[in-house]
Amino acid sequence: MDDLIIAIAEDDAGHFELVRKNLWLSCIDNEILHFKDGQAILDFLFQKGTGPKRLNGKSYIILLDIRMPKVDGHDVLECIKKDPKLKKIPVIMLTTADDSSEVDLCYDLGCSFYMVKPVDYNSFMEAVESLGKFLSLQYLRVPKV
Amino acid sequence: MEKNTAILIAESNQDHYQIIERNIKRAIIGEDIKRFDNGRALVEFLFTSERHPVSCVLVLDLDIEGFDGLEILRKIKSDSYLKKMPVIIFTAQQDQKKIDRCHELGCSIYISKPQEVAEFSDTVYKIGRFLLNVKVPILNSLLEN
Repeated sequence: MDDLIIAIAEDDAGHFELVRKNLWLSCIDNEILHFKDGQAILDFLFQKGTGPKRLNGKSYIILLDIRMPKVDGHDVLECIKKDPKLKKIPVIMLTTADDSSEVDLCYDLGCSFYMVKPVDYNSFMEAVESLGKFLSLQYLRVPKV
Repeated sequence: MEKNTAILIAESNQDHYQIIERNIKRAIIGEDIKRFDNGRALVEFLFTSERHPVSCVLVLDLDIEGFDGLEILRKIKSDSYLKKMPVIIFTAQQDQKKIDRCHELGCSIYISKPQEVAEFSDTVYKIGRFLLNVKVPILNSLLEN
């Protein structure tokens, strides 16, 4: 989907760069937004605060880390999924936390998918590449909010 | 994806099912695939806890025979254990209201079926490769104790 905006909430600059680069390598040329903590992405989505604000009528998909400053990924996910409009945004967890109770909690809160960031570089690249090819499917249909 | 994850495919169209099965198998070698060619069989399977697998992903065509696909999604996402199961909508229906409704009800993602066989195959293959890198929650309520 060409007009899909990918919002990435990730406090680790190195991880963000790896993800951005590997999405690009799998032919994603969508707009990518970067948020360095949970509060920043919430302010953006809920059109609050002093930073950039979401425009109405766009399609978003969120890649969400769990361990972030200010507001963590669980709380971000919960806020999004409790909002009648924003709940339609697919949220894919992308996190180092590889623990079944974490996985369960996030799906229970309404995430679309849960991906663990592999420790080794090559596996990380492959995982993000498969995500990129999936997100670049022209048949993906994401609602506008 | 863990080894004991089953991929449930709810698809009434025999030709479509064959392409889906072939390409999922190509993408994810060794996975357990269960087919449901009608909605009633799927609902019975899911809501009888002794029979459904520990963890599964559902690929659901809204045009499934014998039961309204949206209603199946609603039932799954209203159930306190089944709601964690990722549901991928893969359907020919492209009505914007349906797409929105599926996301409101909590589908993981919505993908419209390509008309052309090579694109259909490629799309399913990319879904499969992506699922390889996804963690799937454990559903079986018996394990909660």
